[in-house]
Amino acid sequence: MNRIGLAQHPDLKNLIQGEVPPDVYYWNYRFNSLGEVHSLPDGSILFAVVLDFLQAKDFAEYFFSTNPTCYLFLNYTSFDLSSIQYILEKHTKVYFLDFSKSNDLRFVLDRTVFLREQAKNQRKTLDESRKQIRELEKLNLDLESLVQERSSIIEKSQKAEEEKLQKIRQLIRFIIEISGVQSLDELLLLLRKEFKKFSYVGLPIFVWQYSPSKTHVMSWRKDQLLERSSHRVFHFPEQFNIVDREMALQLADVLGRPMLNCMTLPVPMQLIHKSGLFDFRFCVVFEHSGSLQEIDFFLQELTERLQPIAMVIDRLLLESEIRSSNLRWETIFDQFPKPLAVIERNFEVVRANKAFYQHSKSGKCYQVFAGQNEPCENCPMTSDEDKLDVQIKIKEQLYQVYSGSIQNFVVHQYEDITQERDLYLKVLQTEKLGALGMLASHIAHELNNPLTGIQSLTEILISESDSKESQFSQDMLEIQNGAKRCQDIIRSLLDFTQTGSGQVAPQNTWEQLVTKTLPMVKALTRKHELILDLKTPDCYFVAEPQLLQQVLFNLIDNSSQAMSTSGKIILNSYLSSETNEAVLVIHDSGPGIPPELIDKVFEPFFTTKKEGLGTGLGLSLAKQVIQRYGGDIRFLPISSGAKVEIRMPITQVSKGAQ
Amino acid sequence: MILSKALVIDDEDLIRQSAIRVLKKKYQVLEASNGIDGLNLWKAEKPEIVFLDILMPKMTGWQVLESLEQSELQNTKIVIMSAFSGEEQQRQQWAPFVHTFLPKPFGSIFDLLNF
Repeated sequence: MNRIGLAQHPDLKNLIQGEVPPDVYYWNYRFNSLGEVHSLPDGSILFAVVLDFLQAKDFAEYFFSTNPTCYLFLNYTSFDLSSIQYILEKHTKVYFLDFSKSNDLRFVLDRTVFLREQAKNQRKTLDESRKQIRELEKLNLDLESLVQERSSIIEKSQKAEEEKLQKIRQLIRFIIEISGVQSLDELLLLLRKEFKKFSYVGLPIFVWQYSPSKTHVMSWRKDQLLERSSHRVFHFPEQFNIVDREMALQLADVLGRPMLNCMTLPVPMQLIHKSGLFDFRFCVVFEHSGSLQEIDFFLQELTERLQPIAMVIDRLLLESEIRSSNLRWETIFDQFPKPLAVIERNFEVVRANKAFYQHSKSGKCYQVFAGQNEPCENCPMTSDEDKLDVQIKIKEQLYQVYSGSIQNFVVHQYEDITQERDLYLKVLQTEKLGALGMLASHIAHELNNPLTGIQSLTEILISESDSKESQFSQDMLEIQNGAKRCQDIIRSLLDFTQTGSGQVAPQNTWEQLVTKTLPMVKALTRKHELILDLKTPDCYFVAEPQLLQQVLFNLIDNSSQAMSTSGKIILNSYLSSETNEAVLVIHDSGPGIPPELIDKVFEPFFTTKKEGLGTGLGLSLAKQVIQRYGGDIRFLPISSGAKVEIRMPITQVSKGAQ
Repeated sequence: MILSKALVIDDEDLIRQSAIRVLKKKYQVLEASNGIDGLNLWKAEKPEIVFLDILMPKMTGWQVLESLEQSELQNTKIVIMSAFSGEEQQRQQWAPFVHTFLPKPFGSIFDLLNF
């Protein structure tokens, strides 16, 4: 903006400080005549002055010397109106110098002033609007700074959120990781990894006890996991302790090395205490050497993780407790000597102990236990009514089955009562034998008298007979022998029933025994052929000869009775060197024994004879007599006839036999 | 010749008859089939030798001996004939008065002549 003026003129000073805007200058030179200056809309100045020429010349000189930016300085009188208009339009700055007092100029100037006023108003509006714009701009700026401030706050909080989120993410990751942990070892490894970044904190150590009498310590030695146990009474902290001197001492004792500051965290056990193990204590220990501030940082992270850690430890220990308790029960169940099984109603085995798995490892109960393809006869599950106590027979074994229902299952306990049954039968047999023995003893004594009479009388008759060779004498002799044999039988019967009353002889041979028995069986074997093939004259064995004779008598008697028509009975004896036994084999040509009966013939009271003809005691007694001296008797399965074998252990062999 | 008296006390006919047949060559034989008859005969006839069975109806051999006077016992040769089962106590008790215990069955009936 051009400032034109002469500072030394008092009116000008007035003007400058007056109401006229600072860019409009009014300049009056020398005469207080009319001179007007107007500001034009484009910012230029219209300046009009009335001067005489001389004065103008001075003024111009002065003006130019002080205002080099003024580029036109005209004498108004030399222009017509249109020229002035034109100049005003074309030039931004026009200075008129008027040396006359023409009205035309006045008019032009009035017009110009009007325009100038207009422009001034416009300018004012413009200024106003500029001001407003400036205010708006300021407002805008304020707003912008506010936004910036706000967004920086948001950004900050976003960052904090992110950090928090990150922390939560890590915690979640940790929880996921820890929940997969299956053992304390794994857990210790995980914690070690988790807290590795805290260089001032040592590797984690677990200390726990099931009961105050034994404490376990799990820790690291370099990269190796180490589990130690101690019987010393451990003091467990009740609450978190940054420097637990007592624990440090205890651990130093167990681990055999000095300990730094020990931070102890008792781990609360919820589940395991609920399960009844109230003495259970668990504590995590960290050695550390950090400042309080550092430790605080560590603690912050640890505290966040303490609950999942406690839960996992609780779970692991409970699991292990359940496992070991399960194992205990299963072991007890398995070791239970009697077969036990939980069975479904369709015979599928749900769970059974070892004793139950006798034939296969899986399948239905009758397959597993009995090795059969169908349910056992008398099975309590085949019956509609609930039988609690039945007996089933599987092959030779007799089982008492105790049965109970649990929901859809049936629990069976099997008790092998074969032996009891056998024992019972044996007792029964013994009782029978006892009764029979008494009867026999009574009969024997009763018979003894008349037999003695018969014997005596025949002896007398024989002695009185004329000729010993006569038929009468022979018959009498036969009667005498018969009576004698009767007495022998009676004695044998007494011997049988009065155990041990028979006389034991240390040196028996099959030869002697057979030779002694033959006279008694002569009558029996009359219609059969008796072949002797004895080759053990020097093999001696201990026995009661009377009884063995009785056995032989019975066997030969059996053989001859079995053969309705004429047959053969072969008595063969030999030395079995391998077993050192003197063996006698009696082989007849009779119908033999059906294979299914071979095992039964030695049972007491078993007989194939018609009722009244045999007691069925013969073979069972024979077996008893033979087994009493370590021998054995059995029927050999052969296709023709019956073949019975008696083996007696040899006690002495004379030189001749070797 | 006057034979000395022998008394056979046994409830078994066959034995009594056999004994009589053997003994009659040497003795005048008296017989009784039970203890009471035997005791009466013993007291009445005072036999030199008595063959006494033990197990008899009405009165056993031992009861017969108990019923006799000491003198009657001492003046008679007593032969006890028995199967002897479970009678050890009585055997020992009467041993001082008994000449011989002869077990049944006899080896031979003619053994009766040896006393």
